[in-house]
Amino acid sequence: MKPAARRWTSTTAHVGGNALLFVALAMALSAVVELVDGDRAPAMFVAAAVTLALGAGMRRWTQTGVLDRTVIFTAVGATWVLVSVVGALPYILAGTFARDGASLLVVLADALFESVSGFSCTGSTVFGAHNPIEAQGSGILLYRQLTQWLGGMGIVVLVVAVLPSLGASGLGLIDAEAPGEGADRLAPKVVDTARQFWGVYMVLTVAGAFLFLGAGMNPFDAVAHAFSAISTGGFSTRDASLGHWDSVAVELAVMAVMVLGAASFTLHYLSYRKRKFVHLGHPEFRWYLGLLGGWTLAIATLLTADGMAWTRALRMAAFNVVTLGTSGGFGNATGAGSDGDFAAWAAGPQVLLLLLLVVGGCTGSTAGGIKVIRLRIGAAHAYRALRAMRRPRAVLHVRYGKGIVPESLVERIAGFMVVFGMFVVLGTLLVAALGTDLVTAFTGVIGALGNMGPAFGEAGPTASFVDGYSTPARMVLATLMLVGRLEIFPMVLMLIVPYRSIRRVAPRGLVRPLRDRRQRRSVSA
Amino acid sequence: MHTLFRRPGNLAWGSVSSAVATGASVGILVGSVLGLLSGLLDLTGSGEDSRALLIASGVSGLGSAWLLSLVRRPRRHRTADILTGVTVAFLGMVLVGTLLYLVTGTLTRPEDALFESAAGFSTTALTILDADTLGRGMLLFRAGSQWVGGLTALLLGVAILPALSTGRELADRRRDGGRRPLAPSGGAAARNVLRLYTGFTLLLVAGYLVAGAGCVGSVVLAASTASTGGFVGPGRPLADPAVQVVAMLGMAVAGASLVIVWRVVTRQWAGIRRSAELRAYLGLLIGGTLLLGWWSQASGFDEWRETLFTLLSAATTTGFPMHPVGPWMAAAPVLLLLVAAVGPMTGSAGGGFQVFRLLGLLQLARRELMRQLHPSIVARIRIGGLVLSEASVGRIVLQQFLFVAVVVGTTGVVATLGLDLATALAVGVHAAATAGPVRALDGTLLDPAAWSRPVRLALVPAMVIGRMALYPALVALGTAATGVRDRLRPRRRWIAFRSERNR
Repeated sequence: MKPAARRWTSTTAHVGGNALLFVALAMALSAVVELVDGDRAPAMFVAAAVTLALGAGMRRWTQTGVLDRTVIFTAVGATWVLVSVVGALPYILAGTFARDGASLLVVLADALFESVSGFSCTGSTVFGAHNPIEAQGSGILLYRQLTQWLGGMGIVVLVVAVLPSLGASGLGLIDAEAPGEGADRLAPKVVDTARQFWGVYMVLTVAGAFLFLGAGMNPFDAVAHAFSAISTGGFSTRDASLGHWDSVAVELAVMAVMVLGAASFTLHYLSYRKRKFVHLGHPEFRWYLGLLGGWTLAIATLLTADGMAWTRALRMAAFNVVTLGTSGGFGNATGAGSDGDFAAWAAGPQVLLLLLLVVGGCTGSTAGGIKVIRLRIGAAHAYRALRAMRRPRAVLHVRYGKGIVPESLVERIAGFMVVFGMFVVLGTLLVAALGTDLVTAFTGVIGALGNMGPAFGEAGPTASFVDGYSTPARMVLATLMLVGRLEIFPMVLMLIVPYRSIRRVAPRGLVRPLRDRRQRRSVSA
Repeated sequence: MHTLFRRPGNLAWGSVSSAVATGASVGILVGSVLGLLSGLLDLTGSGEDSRALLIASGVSGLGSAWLLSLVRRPRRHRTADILTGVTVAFLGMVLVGTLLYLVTGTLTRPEDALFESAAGFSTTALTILDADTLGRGMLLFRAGSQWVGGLTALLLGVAILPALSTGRELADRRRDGGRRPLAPSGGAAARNVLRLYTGFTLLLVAGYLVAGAGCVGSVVLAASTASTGGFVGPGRPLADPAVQVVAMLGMAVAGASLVIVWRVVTRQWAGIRRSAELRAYLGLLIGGTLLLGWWSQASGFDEWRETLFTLLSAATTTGFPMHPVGPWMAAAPVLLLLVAAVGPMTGSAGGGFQVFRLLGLLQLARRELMRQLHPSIVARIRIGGLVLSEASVGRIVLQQFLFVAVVVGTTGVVATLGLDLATALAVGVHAAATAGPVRALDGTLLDPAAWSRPVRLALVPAMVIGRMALYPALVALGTAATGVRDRLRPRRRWIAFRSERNR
């Protein structure tokens, strides 16, 4: 193999191998816990061993080469796909999704879906009444939560260090060029930055676990929910999610951790370093809190108008706004049609929640969605264009905080939102073509791209994705989860390097662009 | 505003007050002329509405003519004020229509009359009227309102906006290489648009007559087809296959850019071959028909014909009603919704986001992907050989943002007012795209008369904004807001209040 081709495969395999080692550790830990009250421990140990061998082998026999943008995109995209696929092994070997009437292909698809939903911190699940979560052993449940926690760790590094260093999706320019305390490059090396953020992540996870313990959860549930809350993933160890406890204290505690998870980790680190709460000085965080607060009041008002008591409406609105606005995905419905089941709400509050599915949290967090800052700058850009029509000679800028947003960044954000919109449109059409009604398809696609979790229609907070979507539709959603998790471009561009390599090494005349052939013909003529 | 009532003197009016006054008087005048014509034509039928139409139109027409005589224009109008004036003119026509529906007794409630009038002039085929119960005059007024609405859209898109430097490079203005442009100047563009539009309408009348639609029916259908309005006359003329064929041909041409039609008429075939937008439009029609046929399980020639009719009606945002041919799969209503949202070609009478802008967005997405790999790349956006300026690209992005904002806002309001989520979403898209009747998930057509009045009223702003190509109406709104703010001067009043208190 030629050096250029070896470079990207070696780098990709090396990065993937490193990631698999973490996954193997999670599998092993879960297997030990499974010994307590489950019977799938041997299968989980086998999965851990296979993953460990694969990861160690990939790491041992490869090395990282010179990195360029295309190689990084390929490595990042491929690693997430690899981790998601291998991460399904425990489910497959333990027969978690095997059920009567389900073919092997469906069982594999369900395992893959759950794994992707975990590592992408989405929180959509194929567990349901036909296959209850609480019927699983503690090991499988813990592993499920750990997939989200690991996914969150990976995301923190990706969106805070890797993608900004590439300027991908406009993230890097936000902090490199905008004034204020938004600098994400807190250390000269990506590894050092990653370590610092992992430290913050660990601390918040531990703090969350203690908070949930104090709110009334048992130790296992507290730890498990801390993993999925800080990663804004949304997996729960209970079939009714937080509706199992039906407790204001539990909901408030989870909401607090989700809000922290969806805020910029840079701000958390700076707060720790300066020993004061710097979050409110950051415009994006203020907007984010304002959005959550405003939406809560609006939805509570509509729910009250529909007949719910004001205090109950406020509680339901606040929880569901936070869980969807942070892309957390937990539910507090005690059953289908209960007050917390937003799929049963009137259309007005549902539309407001639908908007939250798009927005997501802050940049530099584990949350999904378009992100508050992009929406803010996009709206400012549109407003500026309208103002420019009334004052054609005026020099108008898009402002963020006290500074001016560079035009290159505005263009990138506009481009990102256009691409996001196209994925929503095409994804909705594709999922609908696979047998899903309009509302379920549309909200499912938005939820997948934004890594939100629940959808509306047939896949609401009390339903399973098995009920709402066919198996091929779930695979489409799983793909969209990965696309959305990686801020779109790495997943779309990850095939560029392999494509170029194939073109380079393919026999002459076999993979030659049509344009070259035509040019050669016209020259010879 | 006090200058409106000032006796004419030597001083010209301010740009905004002159534009608003001119727009209002022109709009009311046009609506009145339409009412007068309808009143006269009503005399050829039962004549029950003629007196009301003639009197009301006459009074409003005289009033608007007097107002127009008072206006003294400044040396030049600002772009924003022209757009405000055009929007006010459109609203003036809608108000006249509202008045005429009320005085003739066709509708008894003002909100219903406003909805019907707005749906007519905005060429949205949402109607709460039963065409079988309408007199000849009101039938022709309804159809005429759609024809005028379509003409407004064409003049706005082909003559007015390019003349204001918004989209100038996209206008057909160049004369090089022996070309005969459609819009060498604003005035020439307006004349050419009027000629083409009127000629096309007359051709359609002839076609419908040959197909057997009857005299009044042919005029109504021709006006609706040319304007992509979708209002259908009495009886069920579209049940006739021959009428359907004429309608399909008419919709396809009405959805094509007027520049393409001009080039066909002037036999400039090279320009037609090079048009990427035309290729995309035809591809959308063909591909959409095949998909819709598959997803509605069409079989046989008649069902495929009706499938093509349904797709054309949605893609051109005409909105002629056609019931589903068979059981619809889940993707069929999604496809129709997307196709209606995209709409036909730019420079046509259709609504929606339009094909050219969609191509621009696709190119923008492609450029953004390339920039991820090569951050320093200088890549221009080209559509069919035409290089778009960054200002035009920015405007396309703005239109996308505004379109989505209008759809989302309308969906939110009508959902809050009682529609279910799926219907609200479809209604929001159809109103913003001026696309016409909304379908349920099984393909059956929904009747706007079954919706509450607040829901119907909530659609009026979306229909008006959608017909006015989005940003002119929003610019007008901004002008109005600025005017109100300047009159009220809330900040200065607050400062004055505080200093009074502190004293």
